[in-house]
Amino acid sequence: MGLLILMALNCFCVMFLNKKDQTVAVVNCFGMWSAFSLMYWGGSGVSRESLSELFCVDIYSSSMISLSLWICGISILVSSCMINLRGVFNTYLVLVTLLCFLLVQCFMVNTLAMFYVLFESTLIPLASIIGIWGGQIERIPSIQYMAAYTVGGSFPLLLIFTTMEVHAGSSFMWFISMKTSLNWLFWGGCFLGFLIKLPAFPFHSWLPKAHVQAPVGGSVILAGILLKLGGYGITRMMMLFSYTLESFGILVMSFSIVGSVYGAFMCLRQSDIKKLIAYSSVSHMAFSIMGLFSCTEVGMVGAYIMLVSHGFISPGLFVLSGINSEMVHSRKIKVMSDGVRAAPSLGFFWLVMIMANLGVPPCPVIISEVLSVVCVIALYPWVFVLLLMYFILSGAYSFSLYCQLTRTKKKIKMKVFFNEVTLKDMSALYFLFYPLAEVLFKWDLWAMM
Amino acid sequence: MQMLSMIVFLVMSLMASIAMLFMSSIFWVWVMTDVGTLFLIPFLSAETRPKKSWFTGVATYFVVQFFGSVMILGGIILDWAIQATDCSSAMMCFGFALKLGMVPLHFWVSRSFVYFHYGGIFIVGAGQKVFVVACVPLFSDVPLCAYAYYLMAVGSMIYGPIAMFNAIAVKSFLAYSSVTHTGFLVIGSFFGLHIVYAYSFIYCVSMAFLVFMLWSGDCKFMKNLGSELPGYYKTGFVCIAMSFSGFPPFLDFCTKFVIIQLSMEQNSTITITAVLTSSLINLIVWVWVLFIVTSSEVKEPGFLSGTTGQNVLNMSCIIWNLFMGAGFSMLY
Repeated sequence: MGLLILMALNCFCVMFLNKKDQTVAVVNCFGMWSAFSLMYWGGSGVSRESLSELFCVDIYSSSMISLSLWICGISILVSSCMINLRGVFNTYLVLVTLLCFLLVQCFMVNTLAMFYVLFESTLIPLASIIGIWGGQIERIPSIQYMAAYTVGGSFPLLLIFTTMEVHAGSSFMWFISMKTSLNWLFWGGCFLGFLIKLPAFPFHSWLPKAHVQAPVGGSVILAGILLKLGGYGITRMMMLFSYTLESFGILVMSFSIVGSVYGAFMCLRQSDIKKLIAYSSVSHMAFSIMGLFSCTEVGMVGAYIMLVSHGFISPGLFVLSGINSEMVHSRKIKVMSDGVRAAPSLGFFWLVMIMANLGVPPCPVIISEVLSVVCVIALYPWVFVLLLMYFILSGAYSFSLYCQLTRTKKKIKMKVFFNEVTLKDMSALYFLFYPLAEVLFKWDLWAMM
Repeated sequence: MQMLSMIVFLVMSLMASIAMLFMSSIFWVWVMTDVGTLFLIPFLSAETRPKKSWFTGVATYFVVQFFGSVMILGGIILDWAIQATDCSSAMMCFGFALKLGMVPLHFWVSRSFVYFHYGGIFIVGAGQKVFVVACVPLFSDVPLCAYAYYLMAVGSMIYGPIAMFNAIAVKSFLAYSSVTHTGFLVIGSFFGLHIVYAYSFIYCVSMAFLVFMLWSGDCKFMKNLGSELPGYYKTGFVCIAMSFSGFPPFLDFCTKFVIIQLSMEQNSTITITAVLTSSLINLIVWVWVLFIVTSSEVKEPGFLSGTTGQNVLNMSCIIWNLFMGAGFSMLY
């Protein structure tokens, strides 16, 4: 509650600042709120700092809260550098702050009913961001896709918490129900909305459309935190209904394994950088799903490492693609190489982010992938063949991407709009590296004691 | 003078409709319904520049309402004379469904609405229907008629938003929106009159805001909504659109949630499925409308740029859609 009050008061104060100072003020506020949210990291179990009638925070929610605040700040920082953010920038600040406010509450609330309301409410600011600052006319169908998938997929969840309210009188999430024989239809209803949000194969088709149409800041938020709502929701539902390894979970894991290979294969085929990063997200989220549905502590740790790491790496890729595509006014990878040649420092950053995305040590993604693979192989060893295919394909698309971006074929005239990248442009990227290092050293944070 | 006559006839129609709510006999309900409809005819006919089109709309409306009334009266007489309950209930069910414009008897709604003025659309599409729904006997003696009435309501809820997608004219869009909400009202009537009254109030106020904003811009075609709708009302319209989309925490989500809750208590799976299906299609339709409205090449005044009255109306609309949902949930 203290964090929410602090956020509201800060926003109220920022309203009275000069419009030119508001951007810097809001970014600083996000930094401060992120620091404040670290108070909730009290280890596993419920944090004493945030116990109240409405809210309750444990390590899973507190890590998501810190991620939300950090990513929303990054989104504002990167958008303030973009020249293609037309219109009144203050509207963007308001929408991102509102979205962050909804997300923080979403990760804090006690009841499934409020969680559902906030889960759906996060669609509104994001749809507005895509609608106002999206580049093309196709943004309308992409928003319809996203809204229909998310809202339609979570209708079963609406029915579930309504049933809880009607029959039990409350949808309090911290009750742990006795394990009873619940069929796969019930589990499907519980998890469908969150699997679509993650997004899990085969419900992933909305994500590339949304990413392509969204501005850079919107893609940062979507990839950085909104997809993680799905993972968090799955965790809460599992805790609430005492989910153990079931046939439904094995089916989901099977789809995820196929999805990871499919996502990596689709990345190889992409010429649009944003679609490539979107399909890469589908592949990585598959590992989170595998970890979560394996119902092991190792799997849970692996899943959350992936969720948090991906929350920093994917936005980093989008930041780089935003800067690079602004230089050449195109999202085609082959055209973007002109920008990399004009500003060679970009090539270095691309290398670092591609390696982080691939899971090259010391990036924490490798820890997550290893832990998730261990969980899945424990169930059925021959799955390793498919996972091996994934590792080969992900290496191939990462290598292909880097080669295309940094090809040295000489051209007479380089078509770039500006040929230097300043510290201000890259500041968003620097702020993404630090938390990755933190995750690397604190990777066992989500292990239950 | 014309405005005065419109108000007079409207008030008389309203009085007849209120009187209808207190009638205990179905015959007097029929009488008051018809009296209300008759007084609406001059109201609907009032046009500052009379042209053939108003006659077409009012004539269509009058003929359909007359035919529906004949069916209801026929049913009442049959029941009184020879106690043929099945036949009389079937005739009354048909008559009420026709008057309400429920699927598949909704053919007249769009044809009439296209020729009405916006005041007429609000009164016929929201005001009148609310009173009629509250007075319909639910045919509990004849389960077949009750099921038919219920299924027509379900059909209206699902068909309405699909037809809204294909609407070219704004008034046609409002017509099918009215069909959808009539379905919701009738479904609500199966759970109790208190739901009908609550939902009616909410629906009428929301439609009043919507219709007033569209009237102020003299909006004709859906594709031109972005340029025709006044800039100072756009924020309010966006809130209405988000509410009708079914996004929480807006008002319409809360009302649908209450219906779902009641359906769950009574294990009414068909209602739950229908409400959810209708909500999903509504979401897609209103997202489409939202983007038509917010995409405008014309540079126009923005939020709080109108007169005091216009700004008050705009703010009221925003507050109504954003906060009344929570208020309604707490009250209920």
